[in-house]
Amino acid sequence: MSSRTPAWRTRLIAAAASVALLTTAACSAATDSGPGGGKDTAAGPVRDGGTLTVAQASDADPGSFLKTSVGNILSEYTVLETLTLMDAKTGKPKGVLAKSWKLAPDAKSIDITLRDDVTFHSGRKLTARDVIFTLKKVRDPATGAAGQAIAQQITSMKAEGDHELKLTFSKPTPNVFDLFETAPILNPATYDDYAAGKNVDGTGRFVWKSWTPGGRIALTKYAKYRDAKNTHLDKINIQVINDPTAIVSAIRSGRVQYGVGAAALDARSLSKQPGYALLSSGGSAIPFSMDVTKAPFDKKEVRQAVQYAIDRRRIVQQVEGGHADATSLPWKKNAVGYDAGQAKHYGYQPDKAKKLLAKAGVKGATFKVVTLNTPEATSIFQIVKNNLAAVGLNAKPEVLSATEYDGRIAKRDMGAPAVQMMNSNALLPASAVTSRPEFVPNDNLLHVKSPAYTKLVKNVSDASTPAAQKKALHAYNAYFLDQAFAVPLITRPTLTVRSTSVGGIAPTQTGFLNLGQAWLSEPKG
Amino acid sequence: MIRFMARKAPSVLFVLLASSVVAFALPRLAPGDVAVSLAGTDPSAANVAAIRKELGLDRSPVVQYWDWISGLLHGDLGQSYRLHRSVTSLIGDRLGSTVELAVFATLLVLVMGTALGVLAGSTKRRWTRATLDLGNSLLVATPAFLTALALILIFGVYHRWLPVSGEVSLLENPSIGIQYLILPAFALALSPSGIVARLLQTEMTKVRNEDYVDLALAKGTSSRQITLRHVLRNSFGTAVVAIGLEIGTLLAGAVITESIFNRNGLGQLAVSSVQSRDFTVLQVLILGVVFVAVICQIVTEMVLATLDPRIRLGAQT
Amino acid sequence: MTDVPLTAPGAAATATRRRLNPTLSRYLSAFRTPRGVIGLSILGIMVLAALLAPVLFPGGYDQQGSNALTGPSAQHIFGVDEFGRDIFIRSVYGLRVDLSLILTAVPLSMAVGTLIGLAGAISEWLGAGLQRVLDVVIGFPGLILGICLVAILGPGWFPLFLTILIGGLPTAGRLARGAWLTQQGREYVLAARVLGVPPRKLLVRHVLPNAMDAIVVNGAVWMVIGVYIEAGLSIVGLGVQPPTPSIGVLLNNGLRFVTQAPTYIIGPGVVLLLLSVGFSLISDALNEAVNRR
Repeated sequence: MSSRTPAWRTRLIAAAASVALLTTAACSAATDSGPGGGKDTAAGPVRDGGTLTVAQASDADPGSFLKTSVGNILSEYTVLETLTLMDAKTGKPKGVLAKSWKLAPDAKSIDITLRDDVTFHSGRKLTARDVIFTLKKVRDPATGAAGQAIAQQITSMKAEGDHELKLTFSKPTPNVFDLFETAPILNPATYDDYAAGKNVDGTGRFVWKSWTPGGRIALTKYAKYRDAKNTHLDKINIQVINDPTAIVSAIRSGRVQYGVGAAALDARSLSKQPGYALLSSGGSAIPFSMDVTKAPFDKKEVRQAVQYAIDRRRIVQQVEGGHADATSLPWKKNAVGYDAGQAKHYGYQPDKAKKLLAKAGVKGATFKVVTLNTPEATSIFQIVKNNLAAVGLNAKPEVLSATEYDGRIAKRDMGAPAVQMMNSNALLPASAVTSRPEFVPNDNLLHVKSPAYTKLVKNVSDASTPAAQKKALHAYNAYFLDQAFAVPLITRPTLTVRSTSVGGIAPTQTGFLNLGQAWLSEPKG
Repeated sequence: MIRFMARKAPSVLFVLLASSVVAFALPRLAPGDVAVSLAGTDPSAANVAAIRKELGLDRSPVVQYWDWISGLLHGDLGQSYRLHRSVTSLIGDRLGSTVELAVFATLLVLVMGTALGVLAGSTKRRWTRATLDLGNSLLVATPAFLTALALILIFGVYHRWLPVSGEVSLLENPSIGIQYLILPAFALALSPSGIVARLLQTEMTKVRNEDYVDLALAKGTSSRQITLRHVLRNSFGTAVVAIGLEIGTLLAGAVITESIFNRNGLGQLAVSSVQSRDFTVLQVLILGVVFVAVICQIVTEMVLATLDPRIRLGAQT
Repeated sequence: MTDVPLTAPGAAATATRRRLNPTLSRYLSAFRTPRGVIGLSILGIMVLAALLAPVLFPGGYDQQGSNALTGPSAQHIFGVDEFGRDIFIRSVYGLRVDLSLILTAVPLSMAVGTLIGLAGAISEWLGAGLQRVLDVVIGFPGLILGICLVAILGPGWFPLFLTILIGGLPTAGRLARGAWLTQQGREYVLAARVLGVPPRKLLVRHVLPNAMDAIVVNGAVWMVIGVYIEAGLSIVGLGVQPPTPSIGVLLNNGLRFVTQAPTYIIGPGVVLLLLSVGFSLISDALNEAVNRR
């Protein structure tokens, strides 16, 4: 190529480019040729003051805090507070508004003591009645809340004084903390005002100051917060930039210090530059799911063969750049009863896959696979297709946009015998098996239905002690892996990129981000 | 001039009208129901019907077309189905990026095209001329995306001098913004510069053979002065027209260039609208491109016609 | 009145035969010039490689491995891609897609365009009407046309084929119509008409040979543009879908990894360059040969 390019042309371009460079280099350079910064770059020292500007892809949705709508991903836990939050490390709940709690041994009731020093931004003190109001809203199907399924197991809610309450359940509900996690306590007096976004009252470290639909949300420090001295920032601006590449550009240009909604590949490549770092939050499982009623997957051996045929490690390395786990289990590693041995169940064994296929009498089957149209999903599918071809299976993609995909899931009709899914794995197993379409024992997306499976699901959702949870999950996993209808190819965190000037962003179990204690190392404005 | 315009008007109007029908009809020919795919997690018949009604998709295509056109004439470009935002604001958000690129690239075409053209048109050394000719042919023949790839490899990867992906608005931060702009603008401008240079060179050679140049030469005017005073001045019209002609090409090339350099302009908007089947956005963009292309063609033809009828034939290729 | 119509067509027929052969040999003479020879051999090698790809590389274009994005080596002269596939093998298979597009769509486009241009012979109204339609097509730059077609058909080989086909119509149409209009004014055509020679014969014997040269050269030029259209649409992500490779798809993928593996795009880039140089040389040679007479 270069032999055909005359030298003068190269020189001309170089000259022109360097002239342009000279005039601008004095101010600043958009590239930095230093050795790549790397993801381990820590944020600067904690400092007080400043305005943090962050970006998100979807517009705010203040009417949907209980739905954990993605539009509230940056504001929900910054403005509002929940009773408890899962600790990312231990997988155990930590008190926020709840000072202490006691789950009955049979997990059929819980006693909660609230902090007594909590006030809403409007000035009123938080009481047990506010909690009950919120939980009632969660229970109401009209709300469409994330914790609805669990909340419907609540049979009675009783306030004992201002700061104590007791919940009783119709059946063991050890996963009540999944409900608490997604139920920020709202102010009953202003409940109807939330949706308009004018009066969003909460108890969090930041006050919802204003919202321009489609534009930005302005938050300011709540000066009377019970622990205000550990709130570092003065203001937070949340910009809505509904376009993934623009979010990356905004972070790169320093206009915003952090953003959610950019493509992982872009985030990874920006994080390699000095001054930027990756932040992993939430998490996803990407299962290769097969409809157990549709040929050729009506045979268990074929489903197992598919799982053995796929080289998970190659997906981790070649698609995810190493930022993922090759695992056969759809749970977070911190889930009680997570078994690392079971997680390794499906290794890459194409010969075994071929034997299983031969045993099932399936040869050269062709089938459709629904996938999403994201670059990640398409790339993973290329490896899957190649791996399956190697054992004589011909997978044909049907590529769908996210809305079409969601629609088919909701209809419980994928229109294809197989689907390469993209799921959140934030929920505890007990909640997931009763709410995720690929796990539920009734009206299952993959048409899994058997008394044995229903029983296993019930055991997982009802187990109240760690020992029982461990046992139930182990039994469920054994069946789940043997039946191989929705075994993950990989699980991976959600990767976002931040400027190293910002620190203290705390991801929640569901992948939302609490900015309450974020700080800027070089406060501006 | 007025007569020329009057003669042209009907066919221009026809082209625009026909393009608007095409722009309106084409995306709608795509299989699949927009309303169903928009319904997402609630694809019940009632919800689909509600969405269809809300978007006005339950009306006849003729009524929908008429609505769209009368909206356009009143400055209302419509509403995006997918993003629930007005097309005007979507385009407004991206326009700046594309305009920055197009303007900067046009300036480059102007400077480089004229410089190369004058150099090739005034040099007398055979080898210099041959080299310039060859270089020019290469420029003309290399499409913007190949130039872009070469520029990325040289200035973005092997020498990490300039950023190869993303953008920063010039208004926001001029010194950084210009760095993001340099590579895409050069990629876009090199090929049209070659064309402009070639036209200018031909024109200069022609003017040089005119009697008055001979006269000036006989009077003892220096060759340099002749180039500047007579030849260049008389060839300049051609250059301007040639640049005008290339603006259409430039805009079409911008779609690929934006994609390669990850710039968030109208081209990327068009591509993402195709991928998400956002018709209301797509139809405006298609019509917009055709409109600009037609206007460029008309203006150029008009200028050419007034300048010199002979050039008109050459410009049609 | 009885003699003339009988003899005139016969004479004309032999004349045409005699004329067509020189036409052909003139085109063939293009391939005896240095440009023609180089262009033809570049393309010949490419066509051969594309045709023989399944024999040369029976493993196919989707042979993945655990290496990823390694640079060129003796084993993989273009390096391997993100899935460990040999980029050289993929480029050769990609050529199949590009060549199959161009070598079918362009000749078809030129033929259909010529027919449209000559439609004026059937009825002047039809000729003018079709010309207006082509005016609309010309308003759509190739890439925009492609975007429209992909919006309807979804990405793939066929919309690319249609884009190249439809995009080439206006020029071929204009050239043919231009020839028809000029020839129409000629005295011998008027005479032939008066004598009752049917329009079809007029077209084949007088108009077509006159338009042929320009259309053939234009076809060769359009082949270069066809290569660019494929590459452009694929780079934008609207071309042939993975894992099938085309030159544009390879460039698109290579661009995604340009900072990690800069050598990725060089191989396919060179193939694209050779392809366009090959077609350009041939179009230049044809142009020269045509103008030599």
